[in-house]
Amino acid sequence: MLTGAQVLDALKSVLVFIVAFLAFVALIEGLLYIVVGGVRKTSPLRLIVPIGVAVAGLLFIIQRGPDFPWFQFDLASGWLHVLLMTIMAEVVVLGLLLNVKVLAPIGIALLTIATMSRIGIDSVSAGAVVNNSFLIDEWPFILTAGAAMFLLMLGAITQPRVSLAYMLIAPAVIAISMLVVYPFVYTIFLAFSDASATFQFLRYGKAEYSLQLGWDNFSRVFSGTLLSDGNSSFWNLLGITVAWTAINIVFHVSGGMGLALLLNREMSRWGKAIYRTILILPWAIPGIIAILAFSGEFNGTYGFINIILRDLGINNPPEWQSDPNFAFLMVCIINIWLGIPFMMVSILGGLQSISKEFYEAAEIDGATGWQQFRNITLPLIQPVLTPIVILGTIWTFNNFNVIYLADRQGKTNILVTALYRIFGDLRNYHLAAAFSLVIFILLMIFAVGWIRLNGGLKGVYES
Amino acid sequence: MIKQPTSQMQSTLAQPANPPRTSVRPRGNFFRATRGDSPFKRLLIHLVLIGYCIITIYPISRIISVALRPGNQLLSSDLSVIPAGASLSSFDTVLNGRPFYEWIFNSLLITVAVTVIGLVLAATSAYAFSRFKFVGRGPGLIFLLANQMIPATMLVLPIFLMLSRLGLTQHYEGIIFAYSVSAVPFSVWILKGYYDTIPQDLEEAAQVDGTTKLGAFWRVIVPLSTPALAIAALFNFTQAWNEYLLASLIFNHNDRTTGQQITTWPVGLNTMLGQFNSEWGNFAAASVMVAIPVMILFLYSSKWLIGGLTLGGVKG
Repeated sequence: MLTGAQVLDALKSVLVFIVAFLAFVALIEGLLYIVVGGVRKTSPLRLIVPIGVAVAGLLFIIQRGPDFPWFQFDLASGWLHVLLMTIMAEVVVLGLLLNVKVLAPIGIALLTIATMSRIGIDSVSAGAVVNNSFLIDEWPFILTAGAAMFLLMLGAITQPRVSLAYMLIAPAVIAISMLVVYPFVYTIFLAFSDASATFQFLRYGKAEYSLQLGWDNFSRVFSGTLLSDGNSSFWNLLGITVAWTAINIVFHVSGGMGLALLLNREMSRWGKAIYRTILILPWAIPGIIAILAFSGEFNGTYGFINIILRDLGINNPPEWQSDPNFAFLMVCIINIWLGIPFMMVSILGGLQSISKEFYEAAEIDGATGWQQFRNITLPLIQPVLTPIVILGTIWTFNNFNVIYLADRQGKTNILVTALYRIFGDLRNYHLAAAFSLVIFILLMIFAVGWIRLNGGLKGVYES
Repeated sequence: MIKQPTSQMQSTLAQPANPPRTSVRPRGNFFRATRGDSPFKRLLIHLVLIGYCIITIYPISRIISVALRPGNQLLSSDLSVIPAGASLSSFDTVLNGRPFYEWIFNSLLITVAVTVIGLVLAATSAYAFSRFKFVGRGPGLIFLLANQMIPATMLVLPIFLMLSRLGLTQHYEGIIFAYSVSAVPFSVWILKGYYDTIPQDLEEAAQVDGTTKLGAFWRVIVPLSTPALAIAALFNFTQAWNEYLLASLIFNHNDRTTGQQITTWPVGLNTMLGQFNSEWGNFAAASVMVAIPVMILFLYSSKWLIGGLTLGGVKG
């Protein structure tokens, strides 16, 4: 049970995190502000606010004391440590860029001290002199966060007139660089390693890195079996994924289109509102609940699907969970049920923005219903349809939850669930990294092909 | 006042503003209403719609009916929505015998913090993308779009490794940090689209009156863009509220530094199993209690939500 002390503690730690986050933002902003040269132009008093917030945040964190996870001695690298390293590196770069000769040596000195302290902590915590490979372990992180900071500062220095823009995007860019770009870069490193779930790797990130290992990993993705069931090769999984995506998209679009067309006919406003509310329920219910509930309802004996099938006179209805073919059918049915409302609503939005006059003109010319659909409706909802079909394809391709959670016995696997099983269940990190890069490249080929077909992305941001 | 995003979208399709709904029947055709359907066709349309409504609603009502079943009838082949001898014993078990409050509390705390952080990140950068022409603007926006294409499953492993090395796997900080940017790219697109519809004159007027550029953002743009901020907040909220993948990996990881266990509701519900067994009724009861507030929130806000979707997607 939840006690009051637990609640207070949780609230406290989350509050500290938010304050720390704001302090981090303030630090970045203050740094950028100095770079842009605001100090020279306006009174330095303005700097007091960001620096004050930053110092207050840091003090707040320190005040929370030794139980704060980032300061535990055991955690050799330490969050703040990495952050400081990044900022130090920036100071060096800045010193060189702005030709402030004092900054560069100070930065280098601080960087050295920081690195040394890291070595010291490592040696103690391992209990012996360890072969410290700090630069290999952490440098994807420094590289990505540092590169983001560097680009922002470069932009702010070279274009002082829009420097405010760089200050505004800085927090988001740095956060994304740490949570999207860094993991991505690190995945590339892992693909060329032999990393697995050993203590040395999990704690200190120690693994062998070489091109030979990378070659082994990638060739294993394409030639070996990937999962422990013995018959899941890459090509096998790719085939299932393509079939899964195609089946779902076809049913989503046709089902959504059909319902949207019906809802767009003349009917009373209340009737329309009621239908619409009921029909979007599968989208409104939290996906995980729907998936888990459905997976139970596909139970051979007690699920309502088989009860209905038996009532209809089918004496031995399928065992959905244990037969691989029926398991695939099951996940398809669940995902189609879940996905139709989104398509329906989006298409309905497009249909409602088509002027009725087109149809009246077509009626006068004697066009049949199908001709009207083919020549008026389809071309006019094209701008709405194309992006949602592309989005839907990517979402379905990456749909982990439906297959992993509904198929309790793991009979069906698409690429992303196989990926999860490789690193989550088999703990084969290097193979998973190589495999995920291959999946990413497949998606990129699809996206770039689509962009080419649609004449580039220029129109997307030049508005 | 401010142009509404939907009306802008419609105007690109060359539609007269606010078409009167009743003007569809052309004059001079006595025997057949042109756009109105024949009674038989109408019946057919309603039959199909009602049929699909049943397909939609039955599985959902079934969760409620399982939750209401008394313990001894859990494994029956009863198809009725309200079972015979309905009881609330499953709800009682969940509320008093399971760490249900803890799951909801954890999820709420994490989700609210993520929403706050995500909104701060998205609102500021969307403003920059909307109002300034700086080097890197185009590539930056494309980069945000490209973010959507990276499979979440791919980033989970390195993020998990990072968090476990920093010792944050059993702390709120870790999961909040990991979730914080997941909805940012999408929010930036929505907010940028909305800011684009706000005329720059308003900020300029505010600046003439003596505030700074940032002051104008805070005093003019933020209050005017509340609808778009609400949509972005909702996206952040649902994203963090429903996340299963990373949570399951992080919370199942045995961290030796603390004995503390944090679990969010998706992970907790999954441990109650999705199969028919003794926990099935409890699972259904917990599901009902989680789902109903979320569904009400969703249905209430669905109009804006859909507007926001098309705003992000169709703009351009």
